[in-house]
Amino acid sequence: MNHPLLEIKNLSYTPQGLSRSVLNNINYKIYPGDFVILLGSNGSGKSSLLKTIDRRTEATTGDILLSNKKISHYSQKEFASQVITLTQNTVDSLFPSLTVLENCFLALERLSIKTFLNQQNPKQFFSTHLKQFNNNLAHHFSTHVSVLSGGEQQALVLALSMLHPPKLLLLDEHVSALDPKAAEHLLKFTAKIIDEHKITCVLTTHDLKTALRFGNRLLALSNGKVSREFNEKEKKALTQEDLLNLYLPPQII
Amino acid sequence: MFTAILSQLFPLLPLALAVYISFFILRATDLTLDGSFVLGAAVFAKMLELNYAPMLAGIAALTAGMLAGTGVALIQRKQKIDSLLAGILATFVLLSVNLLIMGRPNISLLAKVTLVSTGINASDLSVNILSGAYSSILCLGVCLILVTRYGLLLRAFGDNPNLLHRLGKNVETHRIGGFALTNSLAAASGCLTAQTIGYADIGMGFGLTLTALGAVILGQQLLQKLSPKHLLHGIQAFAVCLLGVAFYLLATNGLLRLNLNPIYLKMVLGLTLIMFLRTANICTTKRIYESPTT
Amino acid sequence: MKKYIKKFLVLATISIAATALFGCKKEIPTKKVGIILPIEHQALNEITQGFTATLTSLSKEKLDFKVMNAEGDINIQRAIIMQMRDAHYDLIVPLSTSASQMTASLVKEEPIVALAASIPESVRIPKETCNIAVVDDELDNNVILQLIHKTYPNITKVALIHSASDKILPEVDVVKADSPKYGISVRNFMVQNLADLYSVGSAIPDDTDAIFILKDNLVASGIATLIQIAHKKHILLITSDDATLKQGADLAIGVGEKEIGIEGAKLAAQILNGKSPCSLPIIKLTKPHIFKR
Repeated sequence: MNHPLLEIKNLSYTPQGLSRSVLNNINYKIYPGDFVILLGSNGSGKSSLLKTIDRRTEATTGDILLSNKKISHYSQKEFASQVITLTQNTVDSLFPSLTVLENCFLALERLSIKTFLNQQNPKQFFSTHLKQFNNNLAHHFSTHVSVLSGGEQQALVLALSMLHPPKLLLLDEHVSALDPKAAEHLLKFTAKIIDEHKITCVLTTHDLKTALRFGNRLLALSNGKVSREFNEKEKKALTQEDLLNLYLPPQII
Repeated sequence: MFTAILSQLFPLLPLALAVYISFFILRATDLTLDGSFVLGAAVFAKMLELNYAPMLAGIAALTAGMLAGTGVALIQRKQKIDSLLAGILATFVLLSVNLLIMGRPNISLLAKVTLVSTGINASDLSVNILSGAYSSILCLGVCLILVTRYGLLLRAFGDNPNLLHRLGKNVETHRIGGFALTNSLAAASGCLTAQTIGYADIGMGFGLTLTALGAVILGQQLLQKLSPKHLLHGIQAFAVCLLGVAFYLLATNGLLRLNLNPIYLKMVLGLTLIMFLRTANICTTKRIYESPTT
Repeated sequence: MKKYIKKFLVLATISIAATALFGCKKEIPTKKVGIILPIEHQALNEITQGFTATLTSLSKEKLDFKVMNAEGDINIQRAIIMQMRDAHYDLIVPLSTSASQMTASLVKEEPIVALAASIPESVRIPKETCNIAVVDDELDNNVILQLIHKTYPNITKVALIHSASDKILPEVDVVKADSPKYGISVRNFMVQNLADLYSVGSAIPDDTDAIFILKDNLVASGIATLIQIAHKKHILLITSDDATLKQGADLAIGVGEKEIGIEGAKLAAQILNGKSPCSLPIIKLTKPHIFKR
């Protein structure tokens, strides 16, 4: 049996000053190559779960193991090269008042910078790399990131994280701030990249169509607890109707 | 009047650069610069009084500024205290430290051989040339740092420290580096000022950071008018400071020569600055105050 | 609209700069005397008054006094001094040690009369142009208590009220260290700001014989409060500034501020009559006087 890439054990999280827990005794395993859809309504705890996996918040109890090692035992540098989160807030992943090129250079800081810079003309290298993601970006090297459109910013974030593909990619509704067309485009593109690089991925969404179209496994959260789990076979058989039922627990109706 | 302005410009330039870096690159409201300015003057004057070589005294002054900057950065460690408060606290401490170093409120440098003067009979020209050389070399050197990878990291620190942390960089070392840099520049400014005016005085830093900030904002507006294109960052910093300080001094000296009572000077300058800012397209300043979440 | 304001601003700045550049060569029919005050301060104003009044009566020529206050900003102070230098004033009169040091280092030709400044001979004489005359007023803190003791031999307990100013703290130490010699015990009370003065003043022990204050701007500005307290407790109020006597202090020990100005004016008159500043001795007003109501 394959070793899990990520193992969540009895994870609970209660923010300081809050009496109810946001995450409640979650157990889950993610294997290399998985594309897990994390489904839940607002406040179900899906963002908190991703934040805890990405060390942005610290769990109250329980453990998270990445490649069999507690995530708190990684140095920030090691961790940064293995796990990357994309959120709808590009400010979480970009330096807004610096230029596109400067952001490229800074993205290399999480890796060993020399391997990249010594091999070739860095500007040329970035240009070819960015072109795969968005044609515009490579022509705007000296533009401040804050002036780019939302779609361009997200494309840049994705491009920068793929300079050195991470082991685990966490997508926290990263397209939800975009208009439907741009969102659709970026989502498809992200899926393609993930497929190409064989990256393990967790995608949170509350859009049922997205949940059906992408991913091989599905995890539904409600009130900080795992409400349902579906494996690859079960997920394929799911319909939109089934998912809607997950959303609307009987007690509310 | 131009030589008068030049001789006032050189000692002030490093302070303006310090203010530029701390307010526009590190995005910190660092009021410690007032204190570090006096610290530089105090250390330099005391060392000369103890008969150390001027060069050594100058280096000691810069080092003292660096230490002060390190201190302020350590106060702010892990965002426990914000930069404005840390600056105020550090200024308190520095007041006592400066007095402790000097031993009395005023040390005369009039008869001393300093870095820029050979004693009381030094010619104005040589003083101007020497202080100009020290000031420009120092400022250009720092501007060079700004275009290196380290400079990029400093700007990244000011722009988005959280992301810098996530990239696996130690945010605190960059904080310390940035503040040490700005405070040693302020100390250099104080050190040069003390040499050109002939004394170090405990109250000589009063309100200088705010004056320099006014000058820098002015410089930024002027530069935007003159060349709206983006310059290389280091060059831009230097140009902004040079323009701002020169314009500020031109205005002060000009108004004084027009027989304006100095009591109204700050008011006139303040109102001018307000009008400048109101009428300009506040792109650069907007960038600072704009909430980054949009 | 905005564009016009902008254009107006640019024009205004250019015209200011231009007039400043070309407008400084005016014919001066009278002798110009520039007085530089580093900061707004009652004592400095009194020196200025003493100086201008005496010099006007001593001089045969018409004088044009220009009093400039730097408001505590060294950049402005430097700009003022340079302006007076470049406009070739007949006499430049800086007040306080730091303003005098700055003037000494910036002005080589024009004669200077430094008031209330300690500029020693070792600085003045080596200067080639030797253009400085000095009235020194640095008080000898060691003799203050001696004078108090001489005037009121019965005083044994003194409450020294002072601010946290950098100038004052070392003086407090000197006074305290000196006190046992005269059988006086000095207790010091520090006030952070003017609002504290009443509560701190009221808290001094009842067996205190006198309240004493130094040349301390903060405390001196709240003198009315201390007069009230001293009156209530039936104890003496001793200050270091003769101006407070009029307001109700019992004794002042210090250099008369007017006197500094008067002595300076005597020097200035000789310089305006053609004497070299260097040939005039440094006037020392370091001995405190006793001013009684």
